Order: sequence, then structure tokens, then C-alpha cells
Amino acid sequence: MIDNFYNCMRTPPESYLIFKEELKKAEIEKTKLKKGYESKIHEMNKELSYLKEQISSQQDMMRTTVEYATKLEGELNNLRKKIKQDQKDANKSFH
Amino acid sequence: MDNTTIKKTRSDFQDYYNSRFSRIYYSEELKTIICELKSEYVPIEHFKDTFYKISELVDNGINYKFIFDKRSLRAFHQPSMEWYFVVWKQDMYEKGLKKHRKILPPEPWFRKSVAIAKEQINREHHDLIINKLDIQYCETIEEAIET
Repeated sequence: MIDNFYNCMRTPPESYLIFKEELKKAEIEKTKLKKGYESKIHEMNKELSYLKEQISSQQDMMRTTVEYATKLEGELNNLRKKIKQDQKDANKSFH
Repeated sequence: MDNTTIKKTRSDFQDYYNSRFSRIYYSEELKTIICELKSEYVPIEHFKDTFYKISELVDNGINYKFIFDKRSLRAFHQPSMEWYFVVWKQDMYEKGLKKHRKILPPEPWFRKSVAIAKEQINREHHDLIINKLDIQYCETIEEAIET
């Protein structure tokens, strides 16, 4: 009877073995999910950084274009002033 | 490339490289390369990768004409553009590639921005070989192949 008891102690019950196997499977699944999740996060961060770059480039394009338009506006104003002044000078020289 | 040649279209070109950001085709017969950008924006590392791939073709003698189709773009990266103008075009010029055809997005604001950026690069780099190149803007791939 004592021998039988020791044998029982040495061999874990079947339910325990099944549980252990399930636990192992769950751990493998968890690692797989974690890796998949990390890779998705990595991809998302990469996309996000591309998007940030794109926005910054678009802002640069807008800035350059606005600067150019402002420069043209200034030149146009100067030209208008010059034309006005030339007209005044021309009128003076007539009288 | 005489006028009696049968009209060539995009389908006469064979694939060389395809990525998320770009696609490269070439015709050995016409010694012409087409690079088509595929996204609204191309990060510089991918932009350079694409052009290094094109350099491989130019190194192999496909150096008569380069067609750059940028219709998908909605933003360009000024440092990438500068590298393309100052470094890449210069290298390719030395390898015999002098004919460039470009297809821009139809939006006038984009075209104006490109012109302004180009003017800025021209101002900053006086020794550019751009003036020695045959550059033309086209509206379609077919027009770019023909001209």
C-alpha cells in the first residue's frame, strides 16, 4: 500500500499533464500574439513618422510658396509706385 | 530613335523594380527608363533606393531617356529633390543620360511649388548641369515616350 502511494506521488495526475500542455500552448500563443502586436506597433510608428514627414514637407512647400508670393507682392507694389512716380514726373515735365 | 519606329507604349517596357513607393520599367530597345512614383509622399531613404536602382540600369547602358512620373505626389521633400538635382542628375549625366521627361500632378499649386523649389536650388548651386540637359514636361507616359 505504501509502494502504491509513492507511485501515485511520482506520477502526476492526467488532468495536471493536460493542464501543463494547455499552459505551454497558451504561452506559445501569447508570445506569438506579442510578436505580432509589436510588429504592428512598429509598422504603425513607421507610418506615423512618414505621415509626420509628409505634413512637414507640405508645410515647407506652403511656406516657400507664401514667401515667394509675398516677394512678388512687394515687387508689384514697388513697380506700381514707380509707375505712379514716373507718371507724376512726366506730367511735371509737360507744364 | 527615328520617326519610322512603331509607336511604343508603356506595355512595351519590362518591369525592373517594384516597391510600395515606386515602380521602375525599362525598354532595352529604346534605352529608356520609366520611374513611376506610387504614393503621395516618398521618404528620402526610399527615394534614394529607387534612384540607385535606376542607376543600375543606366550603368547597364539604358541611358537614352529617363521618364519620371510623379503624378501620385502631393508633397515633395526639398532635400530629396535637391539630392536628385545636384547629385543624381550629375552622376547620370556623366554616364550619358541627358534626356529627362517629367510628368507632374495636374494641380497648379503643386507645379508652382516645384518651379519655386527648382529656382531656389538653381540659386544655391551655380554649377548645376541642368542647362546642359534636355528636360521637358509631359502630361502622359505615351507623350513622354514619343518626345
